[in-house]
Amino acid sequence: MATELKRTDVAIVGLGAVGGVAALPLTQAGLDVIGLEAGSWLRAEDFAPDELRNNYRGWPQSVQKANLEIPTHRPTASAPYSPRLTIHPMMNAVGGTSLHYWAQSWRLSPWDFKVATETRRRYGASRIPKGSTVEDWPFGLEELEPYYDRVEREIGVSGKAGNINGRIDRGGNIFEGARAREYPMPPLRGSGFTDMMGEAARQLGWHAFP
Amino acid sequence: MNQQWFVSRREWLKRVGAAAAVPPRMLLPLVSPSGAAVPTLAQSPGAPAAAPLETLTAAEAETLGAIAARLIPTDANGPGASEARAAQYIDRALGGALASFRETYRAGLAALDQYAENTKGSPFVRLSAADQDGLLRDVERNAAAGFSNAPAFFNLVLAHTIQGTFCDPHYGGNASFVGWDLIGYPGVRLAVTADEQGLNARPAPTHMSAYDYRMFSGRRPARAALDERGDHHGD
Repeated sequence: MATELKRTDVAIVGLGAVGGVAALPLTQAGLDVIGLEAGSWLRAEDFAPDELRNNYRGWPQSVQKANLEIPTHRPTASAPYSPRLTIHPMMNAVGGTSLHYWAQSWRLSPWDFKVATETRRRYGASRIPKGSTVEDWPFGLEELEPYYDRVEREIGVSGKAGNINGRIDRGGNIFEGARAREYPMPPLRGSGFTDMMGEAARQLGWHAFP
Repeated sequence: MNQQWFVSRREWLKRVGAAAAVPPRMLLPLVSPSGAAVPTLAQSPGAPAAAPLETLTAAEAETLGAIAARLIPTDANGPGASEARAAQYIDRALGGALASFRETYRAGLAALDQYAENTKGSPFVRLSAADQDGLLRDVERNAAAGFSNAPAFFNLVLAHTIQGTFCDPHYGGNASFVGWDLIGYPGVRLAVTADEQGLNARPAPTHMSAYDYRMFSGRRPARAALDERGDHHGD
């Protein structure tokens, strides 16, 4: 029998990287928000650096929903199905895959927004295969910049800007699109390895950045 | 794990060292100035595990221990799978997370002993190291009779021996952290200083399991009863 719950302004289905981000401005605007999530709420103590459990035994908490559904896969339509791989690239939990990723929060580059136009201009129209659905975005990076900026401040992304309002800073990524201001957090400390690689790249005339 | 992994200890360490960019300098204290191996916990291949068996029979555990001792041998470079108690790790895991392989182990270990009897006139554990290596190569190359899938069994035991030698000690292997010391892995650390990130840094081993840290001790996985679904040869 259906249960009637207290009415709410907004119900977010899935509290992953997208739903979780949506919850913040909605609640800050004073709305009542209910979040529905198939996985549980993991805490810091759930993330023990245990290679056997995490990498080889399909960390049980990591795909709670997928574990219940037992999805299968097959390489072709006629092949027999196999059980899903125990190592699964997604997470089921509050926070979703943002709990478990490389922790690199890149913006798209200006090129990405004009990929069809730029590919034709640089390589020629023949390089886009017939029937390809590749398209430019309907707007450019500058349209998204304020939103990138807002999320970067909210989650504390670190780095060194290479292009602030068109002013190039060789200490950062000189290829990035213009940002309105610096990263909210300074770049991470280099290690012996990254220092050596960065120096080697610079000697080749490349543009390493932290 | 499709590569030919049955390689010499020296070559194997080279690969591990190259992959981790850590020269096996931690090995030095294990070798006396004369180059002779320092006596270790259990020198004889197939030495019984310290804890009582949970899944395997005594004979199975002995054969398995002897295989593991050849895959990651005890030698001048230091201790191997015997000291790490890799067979103890497998014995426990076969009662839980690796339970789906219990029958594979029963049949594979029996087939190996039968193959040893037929070709060398002795059970596997009674053979010389050189004879044991020869039989294991036969199994690896699918040249041994009596197995339903000899290379698959070889790869399975190899994968689990590696797990049992280098896993978090919580699971019953990597006893006394000998596996981590062997490859110079300093162990689980929750913070790393700038100095420790230097190219030539050799941080002192922590000799702590992840679950020795208070932060994670409340989330200790059941040692043997982890949910394990699907196909696990992959690794």
